[in-house]
Amino acid sequence: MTALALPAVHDVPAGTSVRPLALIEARRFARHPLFLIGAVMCAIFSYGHQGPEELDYHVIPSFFIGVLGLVVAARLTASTERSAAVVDSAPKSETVRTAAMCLACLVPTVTGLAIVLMHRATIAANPLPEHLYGTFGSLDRLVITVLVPVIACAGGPLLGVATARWLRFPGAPLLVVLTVMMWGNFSGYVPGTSSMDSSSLFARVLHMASPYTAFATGDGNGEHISRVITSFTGSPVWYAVWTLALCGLAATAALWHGARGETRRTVGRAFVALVAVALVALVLAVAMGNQTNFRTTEAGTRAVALGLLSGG
Amino acid sequence: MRSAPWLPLLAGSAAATLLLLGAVVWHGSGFAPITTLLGLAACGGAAAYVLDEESAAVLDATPTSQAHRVRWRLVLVALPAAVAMTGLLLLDRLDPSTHWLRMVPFAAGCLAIGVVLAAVLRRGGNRAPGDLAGVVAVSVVVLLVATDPLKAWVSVAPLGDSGHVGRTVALWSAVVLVCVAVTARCSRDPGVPGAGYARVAEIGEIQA
Repeated sequence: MTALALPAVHDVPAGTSVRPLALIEARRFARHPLFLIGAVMCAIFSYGHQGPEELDYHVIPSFFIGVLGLVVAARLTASTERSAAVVDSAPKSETVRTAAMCLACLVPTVTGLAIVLMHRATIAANPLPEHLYGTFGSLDRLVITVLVPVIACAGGPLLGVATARWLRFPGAPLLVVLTVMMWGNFSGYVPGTSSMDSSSLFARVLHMASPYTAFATGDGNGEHISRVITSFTGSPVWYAVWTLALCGLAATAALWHGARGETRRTVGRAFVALVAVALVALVLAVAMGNQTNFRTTEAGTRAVALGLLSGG
Repeated sequence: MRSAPWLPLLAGSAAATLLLLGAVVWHGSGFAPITTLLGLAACGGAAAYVLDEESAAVLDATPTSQAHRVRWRLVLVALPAAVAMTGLLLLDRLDPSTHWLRMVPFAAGCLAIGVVLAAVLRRGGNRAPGDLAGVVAVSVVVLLVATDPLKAWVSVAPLGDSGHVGRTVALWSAVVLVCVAVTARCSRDPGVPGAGYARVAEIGEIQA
């Protein structure tokens, strides 16, 4: 008789490590044609000062990486749902797979950060006139041109993951994109450019309570730089905290779907905490910073209450 | 028609209806053009769903050719087209000074862009390209309006007192024609013999 020595068998618990799956999802995200096209377009439009107004620059990463990344993340997340019958037998739970997809959203975030920093470097090489920054100081400028667009690059894809988990019907990503774009356009520009009194509480809350908002607008048209910059209301710093909390809410909402037991309770507590953080940040964003619109020219700055279309 | 993707088509058309309704309500304000453009882009996004065929593998095995099925599916574009036309007609009635009907070629272009993107993706093997094509169509339209790349010669959205209206009509007509041609090309049944097949067949018969 021959004694056969076998290696000791260790019980492997049901997979909880997110890292290997996150790396796979990150590679899928990075190779998706729509993400690559969005990143390239963002980089092209971010080189130098090609307009819109520098304080409106964050629309470029928000659109090309945030909005398109929303669709990419939704499609990648939904692609595993189509194989649910097979995937559910794998050792990774739905919550782990969702967490991996959320971590994969670091790909568009880091890409957005790299492009934003490239843009800042090109602007630093050819500084813009001071009046183009309106009433915003150095910290606010940093937040508006660096932090806010990077958060948007993360928030769009995270919203895409949540969309794919909760809205499982054809057309859901399109509806979410249209909703976000309309909400952002309305909240970002209507309080500051319509006949609405920009100093009213309603206008200031409307302007800040949005996943995307504008901080200024100008009268430039591509043929000449702006001579008049209108700075809108609100605190950019606290607005960044508000949008960061929205990113967390999107991630926890996605994780909540399919979560069981203790995981569900933990995710639920995190969601409640993030709601509190978001509300506090929103209140501070409205209460601090500009309380009315300001018009800045090379000659100086003056306050205006009514929007551009109403004169003043 | 029964297999048509009614849910996303109706949802997209409903979203476009809401946006155009907002433009009608706020006509005369600076908000109306943005809402209208987004509404027309949403019509293009809705049109991108008409070619979705989840069961394409089964349908391809039936005697009904893909081209025939696509022709019937294109009839569904009438829904977002009707939404777009109704919105523009109402706006023109309420605010004639803005010349909203100049946006009709733009609306046709939005619909054509949505359909051609879906056709190209479908040809590439994606049997239900609506989600991707719809969002890309909206993004392309928004980008075209925001950048207006040919503004020195022609305006893509000639509202108000902007000039070059005739050029705009020509531009969007050309876009629609190109989209129609590409859609027709992409909708041919795969494996259908081309012009060279007749010659090959003839050679085969001679050798036999």
